[in-house]
Amino acid sequence: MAQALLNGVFLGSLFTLVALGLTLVYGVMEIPNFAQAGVMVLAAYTTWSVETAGAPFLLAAAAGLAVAGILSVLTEVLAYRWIRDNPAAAPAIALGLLLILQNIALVIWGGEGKALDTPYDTWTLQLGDVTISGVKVVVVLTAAAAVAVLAAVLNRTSLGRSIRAVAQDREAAALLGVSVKRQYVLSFLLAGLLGGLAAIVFAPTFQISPFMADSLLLSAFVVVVVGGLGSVLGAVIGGMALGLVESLGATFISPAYQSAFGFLFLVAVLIFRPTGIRSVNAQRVG
Amino acid sequence: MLTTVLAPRPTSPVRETHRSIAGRYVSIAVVTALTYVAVTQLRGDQGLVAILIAVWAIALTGLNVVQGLGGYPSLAQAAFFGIGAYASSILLASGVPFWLAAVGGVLASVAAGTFVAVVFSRTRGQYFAIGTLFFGAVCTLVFTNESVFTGGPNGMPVGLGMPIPVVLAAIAGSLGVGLVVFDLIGRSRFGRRLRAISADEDLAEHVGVPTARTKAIAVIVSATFGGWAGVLLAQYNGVIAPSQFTFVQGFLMFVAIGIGGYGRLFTPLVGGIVVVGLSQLLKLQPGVSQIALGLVFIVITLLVPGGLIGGAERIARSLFSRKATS
Repeated sequence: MAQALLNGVFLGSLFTLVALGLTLVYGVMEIPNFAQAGVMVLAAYTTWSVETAGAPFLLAAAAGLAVAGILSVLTEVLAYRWIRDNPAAAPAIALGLLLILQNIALVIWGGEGKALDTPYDTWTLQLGDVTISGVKVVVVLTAAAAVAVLAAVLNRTSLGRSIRAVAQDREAAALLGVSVKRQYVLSFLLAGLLGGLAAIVFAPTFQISPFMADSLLLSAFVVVVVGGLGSVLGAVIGGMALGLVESLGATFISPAYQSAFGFLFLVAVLIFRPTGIRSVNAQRVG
Repeated sequence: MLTTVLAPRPTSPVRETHRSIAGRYVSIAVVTALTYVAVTQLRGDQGLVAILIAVWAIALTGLNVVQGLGGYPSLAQAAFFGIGAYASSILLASGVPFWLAAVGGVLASVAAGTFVAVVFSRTRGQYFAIGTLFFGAVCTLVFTNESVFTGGPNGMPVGLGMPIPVVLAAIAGSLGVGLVVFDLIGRSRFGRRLRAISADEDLAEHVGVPTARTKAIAVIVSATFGGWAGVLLAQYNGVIAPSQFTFVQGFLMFVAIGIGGYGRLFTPLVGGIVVVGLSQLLKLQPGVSQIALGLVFIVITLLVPGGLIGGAERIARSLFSRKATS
């Protein structure tokens, strides 16, 4: 039981990390950014390649993060920017980008899984009779740090205030002199960095493969929907709830259906609240 | 909001001349005949591609109702396709006569469609895309893990319920019937309601369109088509595996509708030919065809909102009017 709960916290942190990037982009541009999974895959592969070439892990991780940030911004500049006034086309563009990014990974690195070596994947932490792997500790700490940093950026800096202003009312923000274009690029940069971070810290528990982030992305979308699209606090609450549901379901019912429990959770929430648990209409990011 | 009201009305289906309707049925008959010739005469790889395109086109005709007419991004079509294939094959394996198994396959798909419809028809666009995508992923999980029934990741053999020539005739015939049904839906009140939702859902709701119910029916219709196409695919192929019905396939079906053009009569064929054809032609390296598809899809979404059919119509119209004026 304790093991299942701790595992839930680990999964929840992972979901939160990915969901934060999705919710930020959704809040600012109303785009369900399915391409995030492709960005994550390429970030993980880049990290693996740089590390295999002999670089230390931290340098490789930095390279992976840089690729994630750049790719995410590129998706905005090359594709999403052109449908800004037509959000109905967003799912189509997002899925097209996902197709391209994942298959680029498939063409470059092939379909075989690659194992990422990290300095922390051999650690274990013993708490009473519960054993926690180092990877899980790192994921939880990274997610906590990311939430803290993102909350601080959004609430305390002028940059964050501009992003929130654009999310609340694009026209009004533009009238008051906020560069809307720059906020879009910034939110995609932040989303890419969050996605890359998630991919690199969780890669050691999975193998790196072109489709490694698919089920994670689906779970993260459940978090975003449950937590209310565009809400940071909602992403944290939703992420933890979903992590616990999936972990308990996997432990006590069937591990093969772990992500299916997430789907049942989504169905249950949508039946009672078609707009999510914490629906925020007036303030879409924050 | 106002622009939607004032925009020139699309040619009202009610006022359509009998001649244009007759023309459409003639073209459906020609397409059906050509499909029959293609699936029976082409051999080897070409024959396989033709059959796959025809079966996809049947499933896509259903998707063209919810996504094409209604503008709702449904990513669950491959799941309905798979449910039809698996349910009919499992029933057939347990000794049920073929026609009963086929009906059972379609009913299973309709039941799944009803579930999706009830849960997600109250949600709006983006949520709907996410929900149906996840539904597809869960179906793949079930196909893969319930190996007692489905044979697991390697799939299961399918008993033949009808001789192959009959299967091929059924494929071509179903496509023809499907296109006629789609045409009837497009001109019915239900079709007009779907178009209204696609144009402006809030406005449609205000003027009295029961939006949730209309969307729900559209999902169930799409599941019916998908299920029947799955039955046909299983019968022709003789073996089915989860990889044929993953959510990536569902998403390729969504892409096919976008490439063909939302809600056009022959979108399923054009989309099927591009998506299936491109994947089979560029088999050289696994990822390349998908990258090409993704690029084509994005370019069409950005630059040609009416899809290939809409784009071709516009080009034809401008050529024609230039000729007329000069």
